[in-house]
Amino acid sequence: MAAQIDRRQFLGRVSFTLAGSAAANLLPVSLLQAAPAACLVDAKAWPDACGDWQLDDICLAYPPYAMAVRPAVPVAATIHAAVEPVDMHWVA
Amino acid sequence: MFPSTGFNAPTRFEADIYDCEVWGKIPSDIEGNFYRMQCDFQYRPPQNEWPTGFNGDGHISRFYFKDGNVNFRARYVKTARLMAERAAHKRLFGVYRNRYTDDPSVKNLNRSAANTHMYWHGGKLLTLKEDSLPWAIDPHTLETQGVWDFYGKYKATTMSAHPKIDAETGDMIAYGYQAKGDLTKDVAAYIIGKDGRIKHEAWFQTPYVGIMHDIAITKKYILFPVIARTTSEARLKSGEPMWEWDGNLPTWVGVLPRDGDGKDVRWFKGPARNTLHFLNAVEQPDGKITMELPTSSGERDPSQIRRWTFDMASRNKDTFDEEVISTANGVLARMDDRYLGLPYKYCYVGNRDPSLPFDQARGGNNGGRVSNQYLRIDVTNPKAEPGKYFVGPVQSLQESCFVPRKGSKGEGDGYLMGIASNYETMSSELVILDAQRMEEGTIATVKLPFRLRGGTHTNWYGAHELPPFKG
Repeated sequence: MAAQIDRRQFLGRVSFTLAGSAAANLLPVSLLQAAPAACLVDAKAWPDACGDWQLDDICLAYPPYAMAVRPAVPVAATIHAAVEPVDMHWVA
Repeated sequence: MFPSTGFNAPTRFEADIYDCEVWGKIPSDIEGNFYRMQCDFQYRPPQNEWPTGFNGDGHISRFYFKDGNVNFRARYVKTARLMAERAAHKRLFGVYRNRYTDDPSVKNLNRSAANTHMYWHGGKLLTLKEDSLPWAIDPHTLETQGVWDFYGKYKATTMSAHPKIDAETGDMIAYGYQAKGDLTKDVAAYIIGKDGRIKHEAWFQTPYVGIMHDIAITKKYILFPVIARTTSEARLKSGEPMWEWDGNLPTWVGVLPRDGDGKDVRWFKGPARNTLHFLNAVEQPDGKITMELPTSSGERDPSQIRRWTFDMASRNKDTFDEEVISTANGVLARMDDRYLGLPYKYCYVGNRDPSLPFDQARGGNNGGRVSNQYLRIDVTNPKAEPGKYFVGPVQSLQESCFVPRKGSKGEGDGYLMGIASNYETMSSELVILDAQRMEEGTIATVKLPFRLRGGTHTNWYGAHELPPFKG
């Protein structure tokens, strides 16, 4: 289905390919520390594995409502460069 | 403007779709409205806000089913808060439930974001946030009508997002906590008739100021759990969001006879438990009350479905007992609401099963960050193998909702609906299952050409429950 209908393109989203390492250098530390496998193996490891406490953790919902769930296609470096630090948790 | 591309980025739009794209065939005995709420953000949260979905603006969606077709509509709830911010072209309200962080220009304005839940009752569709009174909206157009105070008779300053509807009487059992203002221990409980008129009111105080997000009801009682997530004036003045976990505090559950007043509350104590949402409570023949709920032992421990038992026949016992009935780790458990407060069997809950596949090439690096199945648990026989529905290798499920088959009466005779987040297409889908045969997969899927960020709660109202649309 993805090959037939690119909904990101439809929505006008910018989605350029970017080397993973370059993207990683621009991501906040809390995201880089995310280790999904650890979350599944031992939920007690969540504070370390999934970043700092978030208000969403009140109800243990997963993924948290504010988690920046990243799309498969990374964001362009040009986009990252335009993002203010406070907005970085919204950026894939 | 948010530059986000993440799935949970704010959507910031309103939408109408006539005749949604449907894969499969929607049964003709589904006729009515599936509502769901998400916290969206018209404007960027304050810079000292911790990442949260709870402090966004209420954004309600409606899927309208008729004759196998589906129309979709999404609207912001036009609260005083949102409209003030639109007028200013910027965010004015501060961090989660903290007045000290608001812009002075909105000091006396209603803080409600109306972003948590919705209930149809008394001729109003009420959108709810537990720190304020409800905002009423039109159930068809979703246009905002205004703050609703139950004909001027609702005196508390807050109303929880989780009132209960007694399926037999049509009464709404509503309550507000911190009901005389921020940080107060006061709780107000209301019985509201199906005409929207308040029939009974009771006030009492809690042992400490803890979160009271949800309640449970039986035929005779209302159960008010006070959870060990507390707050203080000092915390608010420091500029932090309201709640902080304190595992040294006990869990208290106040049991109030529905027709009682505040002095009739009987308190039961237990160890600190992290929980927000409760499934159901039932009076047993031996005089005990049993209550099932998802909960965890500590702030970060895995959630499980447990049963708390309150011995109302004992005069001296002031503690409740606890047993684990399922290790399902989902926290948003639902049931056939026609059996609320009555003996029942089925719990429907999302669950993360790490043994199920996630395709990172197509879905991104989200393995483990997904609720990948719905479970149907028989709470009367929890050792029985639960019914299971696996959503697929690139999706995550949001809260489900049970939809009675048109004309049915038996518990569980109907459908299960829920929004799936498709991380491959970055769009959302409404999955429809036969609740009695969910292992067989979807009967139909309603495809949206955009994403709906993580949602909070859902409800279903059949066409016969709402007035006809006069548009």
